[in-house]
Amino acid sequence: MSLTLTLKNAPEVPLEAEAISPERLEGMSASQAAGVAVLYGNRQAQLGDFFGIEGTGDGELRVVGDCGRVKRIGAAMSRGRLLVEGHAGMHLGVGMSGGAILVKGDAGDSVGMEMLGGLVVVEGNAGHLLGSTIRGGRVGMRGGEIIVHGSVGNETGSGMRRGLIAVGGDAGDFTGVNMLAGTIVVLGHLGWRSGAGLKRGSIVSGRPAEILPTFRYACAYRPVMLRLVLAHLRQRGLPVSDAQLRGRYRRWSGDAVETNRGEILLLEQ
Amino acid sequence: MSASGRGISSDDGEEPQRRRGEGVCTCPFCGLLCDDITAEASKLGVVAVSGRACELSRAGFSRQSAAGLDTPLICGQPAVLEQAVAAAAGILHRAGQPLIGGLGTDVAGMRAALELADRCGAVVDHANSSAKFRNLLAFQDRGAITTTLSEVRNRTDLFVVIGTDVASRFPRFFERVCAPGETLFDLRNADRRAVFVGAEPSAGAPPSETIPCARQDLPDLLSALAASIAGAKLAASHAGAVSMDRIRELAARMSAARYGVVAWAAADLDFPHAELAVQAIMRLLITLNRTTRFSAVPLGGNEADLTADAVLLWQVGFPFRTSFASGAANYDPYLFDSRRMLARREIDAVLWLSALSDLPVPATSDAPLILLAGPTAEAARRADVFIPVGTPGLDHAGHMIRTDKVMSLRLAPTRRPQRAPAAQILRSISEAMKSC
Amino acid sequence: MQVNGVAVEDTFAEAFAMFGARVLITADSEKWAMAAARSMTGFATSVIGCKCEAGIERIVPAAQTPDGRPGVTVLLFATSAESAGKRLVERVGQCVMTCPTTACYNALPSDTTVVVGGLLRYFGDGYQAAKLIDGRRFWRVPAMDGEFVVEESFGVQAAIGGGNLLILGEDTAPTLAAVEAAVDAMREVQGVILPFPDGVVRCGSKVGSRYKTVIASTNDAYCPTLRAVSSATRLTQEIGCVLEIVIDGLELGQVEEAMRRGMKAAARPGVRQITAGNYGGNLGQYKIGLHALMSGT
Repeated sequence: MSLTLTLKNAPEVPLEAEAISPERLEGMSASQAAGVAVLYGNRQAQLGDFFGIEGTGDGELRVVGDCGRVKRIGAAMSRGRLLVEGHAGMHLGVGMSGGAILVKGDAGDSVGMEMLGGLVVVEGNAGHLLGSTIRGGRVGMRGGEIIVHGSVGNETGSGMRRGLIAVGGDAGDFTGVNMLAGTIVVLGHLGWRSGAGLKRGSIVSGRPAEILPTFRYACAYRPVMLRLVLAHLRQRGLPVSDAQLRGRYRRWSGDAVETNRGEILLLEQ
Repeated sequence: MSASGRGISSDDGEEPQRRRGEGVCTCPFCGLLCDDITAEASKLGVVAVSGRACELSRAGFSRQSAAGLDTPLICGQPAVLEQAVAAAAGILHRAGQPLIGGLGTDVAGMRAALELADRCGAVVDHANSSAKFRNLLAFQDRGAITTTLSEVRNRTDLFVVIGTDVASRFPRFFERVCAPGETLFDLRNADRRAVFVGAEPSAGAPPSETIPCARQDLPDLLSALAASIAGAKLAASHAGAVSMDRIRELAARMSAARYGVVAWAAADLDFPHAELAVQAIMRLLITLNRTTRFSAVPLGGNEADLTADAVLLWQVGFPFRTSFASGAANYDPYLFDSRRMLARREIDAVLWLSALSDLPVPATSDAPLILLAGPTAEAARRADVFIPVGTPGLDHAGHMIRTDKVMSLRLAPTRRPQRAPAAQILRSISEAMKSC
Repeated sequence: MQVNGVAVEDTFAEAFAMFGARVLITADSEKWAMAAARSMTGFATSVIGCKCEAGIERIVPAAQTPDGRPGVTVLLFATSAESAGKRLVERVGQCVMTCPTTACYNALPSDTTVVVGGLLRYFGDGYQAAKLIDGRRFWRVPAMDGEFVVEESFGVQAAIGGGNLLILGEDTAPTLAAVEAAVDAMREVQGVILPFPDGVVRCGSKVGSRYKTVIASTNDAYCPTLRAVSSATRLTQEIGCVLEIVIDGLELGQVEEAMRRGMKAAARPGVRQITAGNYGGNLGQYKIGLHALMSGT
């Protein structure tokens, strides 16, 4: 039995709802959950003002409805399962360290910002700054996995330190900007200036891309490591093709502006 | 008490009021805050500046002292100040997510704006923050090595200017820093040189070389320049359509300079993700400073953006795009980007403050608009509430922060005040909110 | 007890506590995975002289390996976890890393681990890189054919070494045929290896020697030519050849199953008796009774 929150009153200004996380509502009855505080614009409100609530919190949480203006769902969660049947707003899973979030629709900007662990899967598209760092923070995502079946915006994985980001569709510009380590896989097209400021870490794409002049081409080869990553992503439900799994990849080393120990791998067409 | 608030004049309360009809004064109309211009007020209060004043200064004084709207309006109809203040307070009180924007004002005005933002749980953002953040985001991530105008004047032998001719926004910059006369360290003015990258040199610049580059290619060129300065070997033959040989030449010139500066105007870096260009500049400065001295001169401060930023920083520790909705200050340059919030209809009331010029009010859809601006405010009649405010350095005294950030200059009034200072109006609205 | 007309002595094999690891080697083809596996398990018949005992466990189909390429598992046994770790570093480094297209993964989940890839990474001379995938850390060591991917840590667990069978036959040919059949049957069991050449030992040993510096010497009790002169002889006059099969395994049950299958397969014409070696039960931690195995207890 899980707790189900069904959106009944769409917020007009954004709703900050980090209370919507399995452990925050664990052990609560529907009426207790309805009384939990949320920030609506500049005033305090209650979850029950926006959601109809049924069931009991037993570690699994379902959110139903178009929650595109509901922010910070799953923020800082460390365990449990959270299912959003609809869209999710900005800052989904920000700072989370464990547990799993699944969004059946789209997600907003800043999904999994400064994430430490856990798993986020978005079946639709996501916005900008996926798995990124907070401005002024040098280190972004430190662990965990974010998988988006659709496309994402700009600055995906900025400042990433560890973990895995995978995108089934296209990515915007500046993928992996200032990345420290970790792996970003974009099965579709990369945008402009991927890997700017890359220190270590891998950016992989299944399509050709324009590469910054501060990267140097090394060779074309079949990276075994990539087979491990892509096989793992296939298991997670991302449709990786055999051609992508077994293909030959062209490797660029960079960013020469940093330590030159990162790589961009593009599938040879 | 008159409708326009005439007769009520004050500065920030620190000094007895002084009015200067003639004599030397400080100009607030760009970030240089030149304090050597001459102003004269006519009987009707129109102020003309002469002497060393540039075109921006002349236009600014003339525009802000022209005759125009002197009466508060509620939905386009004349109203008494108290009514307008009460109406504004009511709008802000009812709002769930208000924005206090524009922020073209002096230190006192900004302090009052912040007090109001805190009271009504608003988001605070400056009209020109998109430009400002091209610098801010890079500074936050990487830090910055900057210098002051007097250091530039006394030491700089090489100017590397990126993406701007400088004179369009800061007409007297070169006149002031490359002025003939003595420098403290025996630098002869005739020995100064400049390189303009991606822009044409302005009149008054030292003998210059130009490296053409399209603006959106500047990040590539600057990254390649940073890499060259760091000694990295690049395989590319060009970056930003400039040959690597030329870039390496520039890198060598910069390494050989004794006290170089890289100057740019964030407002002119108008292409997506310009902060990466600024980040590349910071990168190359870090490398250069290992063997010589090279600093950044980010030219800004127009429309008081540096002033607003400074006050926010010292009061809450954050720059603009800070929200007071939760009761604490919350900074997020993306989440609280007012343009983004307005486009997504996340704002339900706007207070727009523009005391130095007529900052264009962004489309606010159906959110009520409270406009505190000067005589020629275009949006005055369609605003829900319009209250005319004075211009610092014209109607009242005040302080503003100069482009090199460390200097704050005092502005004195140059005519009899015709409108109340923004700080005073904002404090009245805060007061009125207490009884909402 | 008789099996297929062959007498099974009522005795026990004495086996020892050891530490075992399981390594999965993949490569572009089964040929190259096997080449690495053969090289890695060479000179690994007995801890006495080789410091470890190792052998090929089984072929793993490509669909079942982490990188989707053909694979082979190797089991390695040593007297301590630390020693197992050192041998893994040596052998993976010298025999697997050197072999074209290979990658090397841990195939034994365990709370006790030893660092292998984490030491081999230094061969990369600063150009190596790590990747963390689903909680497992791998090292990528640049090599001339691309990269050698090796897992950072490998699991080790308590294991059993020295399970054994002695097959006593009338002549060399039938005894060989019997042990070959036994080895084929025993190799079907997962978790065990037969460390000696193709699984069989011809010079079984006993503890001690008349020579002070020699730890082990020929098992004269089972040498047919010494039947007339060794006071320890266990042979009757029909015995012309004795061959031994040694079994190491990760779990006791696996060793026992291997021995059971081996006994059944070895009970063929020309074989007179099946027995096992022990030290009176004073040295080893395990005693595997032959009769109990056959009667299923």
